[in-house]
Amino acid sequence: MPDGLINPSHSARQNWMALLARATREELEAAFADLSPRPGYTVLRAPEIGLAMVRGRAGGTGNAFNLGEMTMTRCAVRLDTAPHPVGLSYIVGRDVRHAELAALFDAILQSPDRPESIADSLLGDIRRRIADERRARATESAATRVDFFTLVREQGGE
Amino acid sequence: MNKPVIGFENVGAGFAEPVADAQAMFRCILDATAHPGRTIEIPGLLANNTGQDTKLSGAATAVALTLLDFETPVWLDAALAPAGNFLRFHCGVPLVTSPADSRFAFADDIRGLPELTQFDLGTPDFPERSTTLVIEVPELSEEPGLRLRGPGIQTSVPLRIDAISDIFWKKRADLASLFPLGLDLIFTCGRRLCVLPRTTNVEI
Repeated sequence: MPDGLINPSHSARQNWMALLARATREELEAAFADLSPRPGYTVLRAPEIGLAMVRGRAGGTGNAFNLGEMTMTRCAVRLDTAPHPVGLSYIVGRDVRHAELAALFDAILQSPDRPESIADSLLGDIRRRIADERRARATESAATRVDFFTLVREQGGE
Repeated sequence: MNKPVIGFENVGAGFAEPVADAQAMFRCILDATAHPGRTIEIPGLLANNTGQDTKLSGAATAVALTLLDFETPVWLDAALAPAGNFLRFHCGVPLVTSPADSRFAFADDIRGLPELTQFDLGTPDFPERSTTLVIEVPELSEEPGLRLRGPGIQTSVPLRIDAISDIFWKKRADLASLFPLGLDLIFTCGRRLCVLPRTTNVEI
């Protein structure tokens, strides 16, 4: 799997939506508490919990098969200030507050007068934390790695 | 899979409590259908749709949020075209351009309405698959005007609907000969609605 944190072929919005979906609720709550003024918003679609079928391909090339279902939560909000951008979120799990905040920040990031601190600090922090966790996990699993190799048996010795 | 992207113009909030509100609203529609001519006030839903004008009345919006889903193709008349995004976002409905393909049709401009026979009247095996027509009217009350008779009405009840011509009622009466095929009508006005199933006789 590619790094996935920044995919250059994705638009800026796709990238930040991916980051917001992987943020923790605490990160978003903290950023929300720091907002001033706190933007007003209307919930267009209250957070809904549902299932999504995850499909995979063996080796990435075979026929698609159903890997299993995963829980997802989605939400849509609209900012009360012009031009009333609509923010959407789809997150893994059942944290409805996370979904609502992720949708709110998606809307804020689309507004022309967005506070630059969100784009820089919030998204940067999330990106760094995810990268750190990934690195820690990689280090941890590297220590337990076993290289399998096969000894070639001697031929013909009776 | 390449559906056109949904724009968010005119997309306001849906039900605050989707399950409970849709159930309460379903009960309203059921009552109204069981009692043709009774005008029913919808429960206090959909309060915060400020500035997002779909052109749909509160009652029509609530009917849509309650009854529509991805299996109910919807036809909108030109006056209600701004509601398209709202219905696609909240209900996931496909919008169709031909009245004959629709399960539900919403109309505001009664004069510009296509001939009733252009809507789907159902088939003899499945008469319930006909189009249900939701019509916005400027005035709707249980005052003298029309006189309704038929199943669900003990003797007769009065109903006043403005802006519907006598020709419309005559054409609707013509559909009676096709029974069990036919059209069911929901009239909406502000937060009130009234249902005229295909079995109801309207005397002008």
